[in-house]
Amino acid sequence: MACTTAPCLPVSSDEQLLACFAAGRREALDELFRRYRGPAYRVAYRLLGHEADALDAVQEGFVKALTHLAGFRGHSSFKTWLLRVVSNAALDLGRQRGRREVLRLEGPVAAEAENDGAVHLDPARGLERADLRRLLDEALAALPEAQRRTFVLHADAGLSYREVADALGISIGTVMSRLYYARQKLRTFLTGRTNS
Amino acid sequence: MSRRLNDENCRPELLAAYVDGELDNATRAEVEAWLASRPEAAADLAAQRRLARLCDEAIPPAPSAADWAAVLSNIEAGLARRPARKARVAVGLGLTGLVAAAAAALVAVSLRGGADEPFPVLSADEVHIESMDDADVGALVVGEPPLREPLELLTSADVKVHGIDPDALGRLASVSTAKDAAAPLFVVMPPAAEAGELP
Repeated sequence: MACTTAPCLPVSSDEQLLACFAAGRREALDELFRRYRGPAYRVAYRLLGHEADALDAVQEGFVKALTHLAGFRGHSSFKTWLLRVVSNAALDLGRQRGRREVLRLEGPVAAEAENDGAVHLDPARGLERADLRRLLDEALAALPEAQRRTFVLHADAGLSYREVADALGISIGTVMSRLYYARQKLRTFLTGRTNS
Repeated sequence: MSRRLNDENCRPELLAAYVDGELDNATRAEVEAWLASRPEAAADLAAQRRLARLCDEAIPPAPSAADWAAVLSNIEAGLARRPARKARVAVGLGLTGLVAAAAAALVAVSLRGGADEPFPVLSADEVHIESMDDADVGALVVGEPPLREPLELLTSADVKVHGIDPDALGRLASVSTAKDAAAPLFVVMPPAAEAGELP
C-alpha cells in the first residue's frame, strides 16, 4: 500500500502504517510502537519474569520484526507476527540470561506458604499484587516452553486460538491441547498456595 | 458439530474453549446443553475462571514513560544500525564428510519465482528449531555454514557435473538432477546405507 504524504494518523490500519514506515515516516513507527508495546511487553514479561529483560525483548522484537518486514507476507496480522517475533526474542534472551532469581518465592508469599501451606488471595491477608504476580511467574516458569508460550500469547496478549495457531504455526487443536495442559499444571501448582 | 456431546466426546479442552469464548454458536449451545446435565462440571468451569481472573489481576509492573521512551529510542537506533533486509536468501548447503568429498557440488538453486528477493537472510542466532521429525534429523546441518554470504541460486540446468571423486573411504555419491530444468533441485546423495553415518 502506497504511503502518501498524509499524516499517518492513529486511525490508520497496520498495513498503512507499515507502508508509511517503509517510506521512512518516523511517526508510523511511533504509532506501531504505541499500539503494540503493551501486549508485546506482557508477553515478554510473562516469559522472562523480569521487567528490564522484558523491555529488552520488546526492543529486540520490534527491531527484528521491522528489519525483516520483507518476511511478513500478511498471512496473519502484523500484531500476530510481531508477537511471534517478540516471544522468540524473549525466549532467546531467557536462554542467554536465564530466568532471574526473582521468580523464586520470596517475602510474604514464601513466608505464608511455609506457615500454613496456603497463600490467600484476599488482600486483607497480605497477598499484594506483586506477590500474586511472583506466584504466577513461578508457576509459569515451571511449564514446558511450548505450553508457556501458547498460554502467554492467549492469556496475556489476548490472541484468539486462531491467532495463536498462526503465530506458532500449529493447529488450533494443538493450541487447545497446550492451553488445557498448561492450565492444569498452573492450577496444580497454585493449589495449596492460594485459597481461591 | 456433527454429533451431540456426551461424557465421551466432551473433552476438557472443549470446556476450556467454552470458557475462553472460542466456540462457534452451535458448539457453544451443545456444551451448554451438556453442562446443564452435568452440574458437577460447574466446579471445573469456576476453577478455570478463577485462574483467568488471577492472571488478569497479576498484571506485570507497568514500565514508566521514560522506560518506553528509552525503548523506542533504542528501537530507532537499532533500525538505523540494521536497515531493512533486502530479502535475498543465503542457502548454505553444508556438505559434510562423504558429500563434501564426493563432489564439489555445493549448489544453490535459483528460486526466482515472482518477488525479486523473496527471502530474508538469517543468521544462525535468528533461527530457532522448535521441533523436528526424527526422519529429518539426518538432514540437519549442524554448525556454521561453509559460506557466510548470499549465494547465487541456479537451476539444475545451469550445473554440469564433470566428475566425482570418491571420499577418503573410497565411497562414491550418486548424483541426480531434476528432469524439469525449472525445478529447483540438484541433489548429491551419499550411498543410502551410509547416509546415517555422516557426522
